[in-house]
Amino acid sequence: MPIISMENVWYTYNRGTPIQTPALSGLSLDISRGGFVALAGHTGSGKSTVLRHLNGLLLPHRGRVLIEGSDTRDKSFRKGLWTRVGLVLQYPERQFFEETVFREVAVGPDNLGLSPGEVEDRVLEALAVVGIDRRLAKETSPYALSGGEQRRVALASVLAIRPGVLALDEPTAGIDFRGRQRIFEALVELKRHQGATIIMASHNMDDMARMADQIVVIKEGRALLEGTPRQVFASHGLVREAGLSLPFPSEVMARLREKGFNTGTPALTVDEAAEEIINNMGARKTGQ
Amino acid sequence: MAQSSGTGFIRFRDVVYRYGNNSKNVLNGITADISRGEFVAVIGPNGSGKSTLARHISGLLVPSGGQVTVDGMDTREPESIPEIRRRVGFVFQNPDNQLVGTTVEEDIAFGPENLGMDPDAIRKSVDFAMTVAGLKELAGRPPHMLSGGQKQQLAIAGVVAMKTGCLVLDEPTSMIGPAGRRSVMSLLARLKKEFNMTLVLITHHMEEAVFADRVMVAGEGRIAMKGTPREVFRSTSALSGMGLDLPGPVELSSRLRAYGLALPDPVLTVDELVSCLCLL
Repeated sequence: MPIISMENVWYTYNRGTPIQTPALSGLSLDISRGGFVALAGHTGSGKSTVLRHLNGLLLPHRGRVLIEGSDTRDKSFRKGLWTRVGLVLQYPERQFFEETVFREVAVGPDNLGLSPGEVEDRVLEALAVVGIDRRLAKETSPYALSGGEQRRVALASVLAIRPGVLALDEPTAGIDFRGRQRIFEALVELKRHQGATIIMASHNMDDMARMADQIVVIKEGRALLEGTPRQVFASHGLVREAGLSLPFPSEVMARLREKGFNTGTPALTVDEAAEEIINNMGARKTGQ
Repeated sequence: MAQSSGTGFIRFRDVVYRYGNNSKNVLNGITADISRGEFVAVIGPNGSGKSTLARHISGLLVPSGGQVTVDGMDTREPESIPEIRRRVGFVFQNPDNQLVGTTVEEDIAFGPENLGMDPDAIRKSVDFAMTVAGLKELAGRPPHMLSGGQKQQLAIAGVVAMKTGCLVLDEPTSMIGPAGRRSVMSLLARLKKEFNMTLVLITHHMEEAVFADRVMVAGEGRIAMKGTPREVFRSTSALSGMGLDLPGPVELSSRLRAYGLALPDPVLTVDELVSCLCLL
């Protein structure tokens, strides 16, 4: 059984008003336990709306969303859903309310009813994962941090709850390279050792190519294309149609193929691209 | 160093800034000049002071120490601020925070109206800005119905309509997709080429920084490195040491050079890389 199942989900913002905007139009999606799934799509394609359905923040107007077999429209199930599905929104700076970073990250564990010692352990662990200094955390207001640091605090506050499912909306937008690497290492670690399931909406094709097991391309509120990164990025036409681009290594190889290079499946990393180019160069030389 | 003759349209002299009294300095002695018509990209890790630096140019923040001048006017003098704002427009990271009109057209008119232009001039500058930003067909569309890229084009158009001559953008593409990013970057190229606008782009995307005339690398509140993109991206180990990544073509080409391919150092764009490889 998939851990998450979205079945023919329809959702319209401001429904029944003159400014109603359809967001999901019959979207179906299955996510298996322990998967790392990336949602790709143009701004406004419905990625964020999908994520908001996973923790019951939004409920489908038609169709249903099942988490471990239970329907998110069931009120009593929804009550504990926040401990199972952690959602990190795109603009975390809008949801801080505590005086220090430490207190902010402690909100979730506190609400789980853990002892002060356990709460402290979880907060420190989560801060270490995202790379925020613990001393700074005790003295500093989340609002005194830079935009990138605030995003990391928001992620830490969800990690501290240790939900089985992490739903992340652009978790690395505005975060520097080292921060991005640290966050991805942490996510892979959570997946590998705690069996966490990760669903990430992203605009960064290179990150998706490297990190995800499965990519779902969303267009106009429906799943347009679905598969492993290699399968998805082999479909150049559809990827472009969805307003997206290829990851840098695939883009280079596609351009070289047009120039007569002999390249196979799309390269997903710089290493793969380098290897293919060198092989081609070798073949050209021996051919001379 | 002596205060040089000062062709700098934007000048930073030993600028120090801290939020509140006790916190540490976010800017720690910045001295820099930006000329009229120049396109400068500012890169650097989180917390390095990039955004704080950007906010000093438009007078959104004023230095705790040192001096910032725009076109010769000191940002610490309150009476200069309206004049500075006529010269410097600001575009924020999150497009939703800066759009006010109920339609694209109205949103663009907001700035010129506030500048007290007469209706005729407003009409002209709104039309001009919509044409430049490629929003003509979307004139009547409510901003919330636009894609992220279009919202940023709209935010830029709002500044273009005010004819500020200088545009400061704080990570304008970090919340938008690849297609939107391309359209924002080609709009910036057009503003520079056709209207000689001064552009200051704060970005985490190295592939955007390569299109600037000059790159400044911020680190711990200072300018750690500066130069043309070619100069800066040749210093791969210094950049990595600061926790920054390299533009894809720079990384791939240095990998290929290590294999013995005769590629120039650095190769900055995909186009350049493809044509170099085809010549080998």
